[in-house]
Amino acid sequence: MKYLRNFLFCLVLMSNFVLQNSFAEENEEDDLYDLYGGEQMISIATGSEQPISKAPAVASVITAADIKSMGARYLNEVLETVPGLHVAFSPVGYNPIYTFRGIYTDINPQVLVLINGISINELFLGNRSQVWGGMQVEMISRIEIIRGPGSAVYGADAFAGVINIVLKNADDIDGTESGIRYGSFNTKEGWLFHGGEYAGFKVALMAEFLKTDGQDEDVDSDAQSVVLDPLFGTNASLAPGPTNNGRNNLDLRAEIQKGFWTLRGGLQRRDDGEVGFGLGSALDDNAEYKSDRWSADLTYHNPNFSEDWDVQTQVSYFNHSQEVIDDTRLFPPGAIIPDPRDPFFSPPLGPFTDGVIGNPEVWESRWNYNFNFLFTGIQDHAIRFGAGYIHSEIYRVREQKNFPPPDNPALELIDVSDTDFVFLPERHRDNKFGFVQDVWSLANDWELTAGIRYDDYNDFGDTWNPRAALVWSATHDTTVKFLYGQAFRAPSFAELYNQNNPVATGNPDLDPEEMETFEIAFDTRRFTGFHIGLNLFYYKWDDIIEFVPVSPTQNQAQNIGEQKGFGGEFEVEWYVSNNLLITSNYAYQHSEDQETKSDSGNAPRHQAYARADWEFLPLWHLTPQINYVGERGRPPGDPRSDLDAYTVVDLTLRRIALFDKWELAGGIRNLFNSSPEEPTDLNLNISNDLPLERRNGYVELRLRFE
Amino acid sequence: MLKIIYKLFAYTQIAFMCCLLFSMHAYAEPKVGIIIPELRAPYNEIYDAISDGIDKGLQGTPERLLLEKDYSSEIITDWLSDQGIESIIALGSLGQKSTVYLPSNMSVVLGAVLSSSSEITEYPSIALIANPIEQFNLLKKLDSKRTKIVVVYNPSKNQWLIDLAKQQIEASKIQLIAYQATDIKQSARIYDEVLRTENLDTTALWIMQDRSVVDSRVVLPFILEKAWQKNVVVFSGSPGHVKNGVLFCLYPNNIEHGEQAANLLLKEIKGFPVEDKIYPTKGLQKAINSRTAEHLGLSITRSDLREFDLVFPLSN
Repeated sequence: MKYLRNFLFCLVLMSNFVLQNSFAEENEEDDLYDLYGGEQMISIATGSEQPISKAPAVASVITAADIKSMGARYLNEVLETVPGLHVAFSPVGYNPIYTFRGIYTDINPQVLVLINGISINELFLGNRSQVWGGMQVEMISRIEIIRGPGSAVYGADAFAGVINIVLKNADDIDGTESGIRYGSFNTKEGWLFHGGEYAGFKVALMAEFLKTDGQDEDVDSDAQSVVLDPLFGTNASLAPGPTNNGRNNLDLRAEIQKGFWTLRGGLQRRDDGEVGFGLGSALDDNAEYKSDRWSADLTYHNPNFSEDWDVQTQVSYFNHSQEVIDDTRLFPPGAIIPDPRDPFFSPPLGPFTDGVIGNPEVWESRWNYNFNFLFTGIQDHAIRFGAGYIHSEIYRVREQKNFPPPDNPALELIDVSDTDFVFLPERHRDNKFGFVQDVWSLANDWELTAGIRYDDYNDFGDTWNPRAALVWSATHDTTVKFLYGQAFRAPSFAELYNQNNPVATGNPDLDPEEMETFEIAFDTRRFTGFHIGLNLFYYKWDDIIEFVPVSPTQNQAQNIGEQKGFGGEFEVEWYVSNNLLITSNYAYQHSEDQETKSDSGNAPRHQAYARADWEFLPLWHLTPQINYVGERGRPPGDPRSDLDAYTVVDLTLRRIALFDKWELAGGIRNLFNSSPEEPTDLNLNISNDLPLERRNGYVELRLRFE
Repeated sequence: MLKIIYKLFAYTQIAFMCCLLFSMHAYAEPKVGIIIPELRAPYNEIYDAISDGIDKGLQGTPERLLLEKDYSSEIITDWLSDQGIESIIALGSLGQKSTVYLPSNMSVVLGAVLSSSSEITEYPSIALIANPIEQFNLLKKLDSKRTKIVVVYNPSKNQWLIDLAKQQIEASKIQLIAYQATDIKQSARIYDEVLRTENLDTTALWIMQDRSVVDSRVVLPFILEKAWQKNVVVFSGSPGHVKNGVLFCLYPNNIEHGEQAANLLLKEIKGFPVEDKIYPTKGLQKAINSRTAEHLGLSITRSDLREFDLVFPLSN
């Protein structure tokens, strides 16, 4: 709390200073500010920022300017500022768990992440893969975040929330942008973008890289030290010791646009990716992974196809790999493990001199064809409808391992690819879908949006998902929305078809998870510089898929859980003056496991955030921000005491227009060196929680020319 | 035959001489310079676009002087002599103030003149304000029953605009009621009185972009709240106002504003009569608030909306 007190005191001081300064004299900028009605309006009206259309759901939009202002370098840092969304982390590779409104799972397939409207969720686990490695933010034009279900629009996986990342195009870049950054953990970053028009074609080219050793906070214990070492009298564990988070990222993007046609291509390469806490929840300082995400799409969009028709059609391709560079030691050298085929009665295996090695590799691809029409020929109605076909395929699975099955008395590393002993069969999935939605202006000030989407899958049947939103313009500055939505999550291939893995065996008879949500949202925008938003929600999550024991030696995926939750988010945006904007939010959620009637755990009940964007001298920007994450309860069956709350304060200082084209910035994250931790799953045999990065910093230099 | 050839030769010679004279005249045009206030982003984008428009209008790239707030007169005089500048387009209020250091025989046009600084001026000027008749025409198109327009203005700043409006509506059925106010207090009282009137079905309020009579923290919210309750159309010249609930606005197209300034300077240089001292901007863009339009019960189709450059509300 003392951080909060210090922070608020600073804000009060700043606002006093700012008010004295900003009204000291009337100048040119004030006149232009008045003429356009704000800096954002200037950017929009002069065309340097694209206006964003009215979002149908409860959405947050974060622009490139917001991202720069908050000093964020990575997607996770941006998303953590969104009310009702908390970014937790998985032990495996410290992959992010985007926790919307208390909906938390280790793998996190309940959140749909899109880049330029194309899903990057994979077929294997349903999430961004175990080798996601995060994403830098310089390429991002804006991020649209929908809290709550979006299946009626987006289909599968738009379940707990949707994160749509829109990248910069030629208009956004309009010249050449470049930058370098050096930070703690030996982190080196750089980017180079160019956007312009050539022979009538608008062209955007972007390249961005990152090389880091990653944060290396120590953990006291791991699955090896807590379970296996005591059980077999070994001393193999690397704990206490550091987690491993080094990686190299390379992102390349190209976009060509002419008239109504847009052609895009991209690569996200993650290389030398270390595995955080380890794939087997035991520290592993050897494993390194690689992942390539190739994407391409051709889009035709003509908003004025004819008097009453807006037409869009798209074909897109996505290819993703998970490849092993260096052996994955599920357990370290010297480990002895129970025989996975019969852990109770067979003698244990080992010791494994090179560690227990399992190297799972997966390659998958997806084709998506869809079309989308908007018809406005009927008065007071805007009818959108469309259909599409998605063919996804895990086309290559490879695995090396040095433990059974199959029989492997010498405990040698053998290749089980293309045998019955591989962890996953090669499979495909076909999804046909159609949807219709009508926005109906019922009466002055009342608008009803109603829609339904049908999805048919070749492997688990079909599903209908409706949504409805009633929007009431209650007064000149206040809007009230009533929202209802249903969503589904298609079971991942791991949940359906995993094999030869006794702790996570697939089940081809699974049904999709289902979600039903009711929301009410208030939004008021006052001239006094206040924007206030309040959302209240209730949700019911059914047929939750969990790996549960079906025999003494086997866990299998089952539709077994049910969870209910309610809560709210409160946001305030306050333009104190032309040179000070304060953004803040508070979120509360209460989620309950319906079997035990207790806290479903792992997600913070309370979360608060505040940021001040302050131009304290001409061209000098100082941005302090504070993030409070409340206590996190433990899920049913976890006897550990609740995980402590934490507060992190960050500070960014930026000098723009230095020698005209240059920009210099520096930032300190976790200024007061607090010890934030995120929860781990006790079922993974980790007794301590995941330590996050302590105080760290960076400096950056940018150059922009036309 | 020889006579014909001789004549043809003579005509060609004359034509050639005329071309030569014309091109000499073109080369003889005085060298133009632009004085631009140095502003930070995004404000600088406005003057950048206007300067691009000036280039387009002059079909060339005149010299530019970026003027800092605390400039000295030597910066201007040195620049004029070093670059051989003979005529000037000065932008914004800083540019306008800098004209006191210009030689009196120089052709000068002021561009991007803002409301608070329009009390000047000895030079022909173009304000960043739309011609009122353009706004009235759009009002008529959106809601033809609004024939009575009420405006509160500060005579020391915008008398020219009101005079222009009155002059242009003479032939139309529009009734313009213009109240004078010199401060916010006075203006608020007038708006309060106007909005207390029982029947406002045919009334529209025209909001001036002038902080001496309408501020965005007190008066405008009051107007918008009452106007919403009484179904009164409100229009202005600021997209920010539209974002907050004004039905529509016409705001400057900065490139066309620059072209207009260039053409005015050329006219001045060539000695054509320049009738008025201050002109509204000609190139315009349109913004509308569809939420307000729906509240007022205006039937605006999607194809109507396509004619607007900005449609509010936006989601952020």
